[in-house]
Amino acid sequence: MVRAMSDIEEQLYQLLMKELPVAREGLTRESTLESIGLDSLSTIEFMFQIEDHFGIRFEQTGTPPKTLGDVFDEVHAKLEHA
Amino acid sequence: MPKLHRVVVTGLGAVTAIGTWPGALFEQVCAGSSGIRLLPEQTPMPPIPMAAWIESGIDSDPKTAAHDRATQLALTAGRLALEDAGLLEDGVLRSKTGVYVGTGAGPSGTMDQTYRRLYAEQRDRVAPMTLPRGIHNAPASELAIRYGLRDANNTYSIACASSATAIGEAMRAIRHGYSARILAGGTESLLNYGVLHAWHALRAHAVMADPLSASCRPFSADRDGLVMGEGSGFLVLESLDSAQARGATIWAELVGYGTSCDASHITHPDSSGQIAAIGMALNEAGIPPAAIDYINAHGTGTLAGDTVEAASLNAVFGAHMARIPVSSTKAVHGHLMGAGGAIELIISVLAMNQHIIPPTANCRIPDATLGIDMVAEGARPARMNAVMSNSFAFGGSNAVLIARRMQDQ
Repeated sequence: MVRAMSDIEEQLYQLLMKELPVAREGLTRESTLESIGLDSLSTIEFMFQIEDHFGIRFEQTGTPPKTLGDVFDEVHAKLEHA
Repeated sequence: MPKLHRVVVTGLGAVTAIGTWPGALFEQVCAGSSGIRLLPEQTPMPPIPMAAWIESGIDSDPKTAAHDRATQLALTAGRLALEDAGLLEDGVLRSKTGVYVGTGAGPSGTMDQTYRRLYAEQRDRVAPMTLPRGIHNAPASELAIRYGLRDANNTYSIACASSATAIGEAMRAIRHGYSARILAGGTESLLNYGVLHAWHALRAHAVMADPLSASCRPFSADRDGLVMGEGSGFLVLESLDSAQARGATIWAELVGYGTSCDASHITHPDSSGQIAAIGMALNEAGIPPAAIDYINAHGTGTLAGDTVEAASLNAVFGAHMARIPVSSTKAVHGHLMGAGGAIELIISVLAMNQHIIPPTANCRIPDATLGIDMVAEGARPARMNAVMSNSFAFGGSNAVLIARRMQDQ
């Protein structure tokens, strides 16, 4: 399961790097979305691409993710229950 | 009466299927090297799978690549023009710069992909950025955001006259003192499945010739119609006072702009409207018809377009047509629709600066009934002091621009 989680994280990093001028070395679970250049609009677009990529749907309610770790955990939870 | 400002060109930038400016663009135009080629393999293939499409030269950084292709092209050509004008390093001057963009279809690729997703792929939702990416003023707005251009930000959509109109209106805004500096031009990228089908249905599009690069043949008796292209071109327009104050290099003075509407037919051009626009541009330039040394024609390569434009030129210039070369460069960069006027004005200004008249490529049987010298034999060395560029649109809108070699600075 640990390995699966890191695979998911790596895929998410790759998705993100397609959208933003960020280097892989600068991305960690603790990186805030704001610090890597995602504003509210681009966060929505990023979440949409994640949904498309993994075939999942996030809830429209709840607390918006603040860090990449928040996003990874949400994706992981969705995939576990898929 | 308030002071009228002289308007000069201090920067040029373009990205096309035959290269960029600065870059190989003008050399390719003069060599008659066409950028018309087969479209990339796609499913389904468009009905006539050829166009002057861009293989390289578009800025590819992630911040640019995230946008619609029409906006990507505008960001690339706009950057080149600002760089050429020496404005990239000066944020204060840029903040006092406007953006005027002409585009016929705007970010049409975004909408085409969206409809494909919904209708063909039967998906139940579309990307959240569809609207921000797909609005017609996205290219102008993204240019402003990227470079901090905080003066007026206007988008003109007048089919094939879009960017010539944007440039003309920008010229007026500077001439009358509303702005000191404007990045003006156009962008177009509509080589997508739906739009290509629409052009095919209209029967104005050429069929594929052998060789493919010779499919567009303006002013040739065996002409067969237009071939679509994509690209973007921008000019930095500036009041002479502003250009001199910062010691800018001046490419040319923009001296005349004429605009009119045929008000007769949605697609068929009419000489009276074209003649009015040319006359208005000459009048503003304050020069007689005989002073024009080169005309970059609208010259799409359709029978109606070529014939009516030649009649208009003969009506305005009369006997002077015997010595005024007229060429259409659409055979090499394709018909850039809303961006055509900007690219062709840039080519005209470069022609005047480099003393070379670009040819009408593929004009293998010059149509003698037109009564124009279409520079069919190849590029021609010439000294030019004033050049004119025509843009005549579906809908009947006409826009004519005249640039002159900079004199008495």
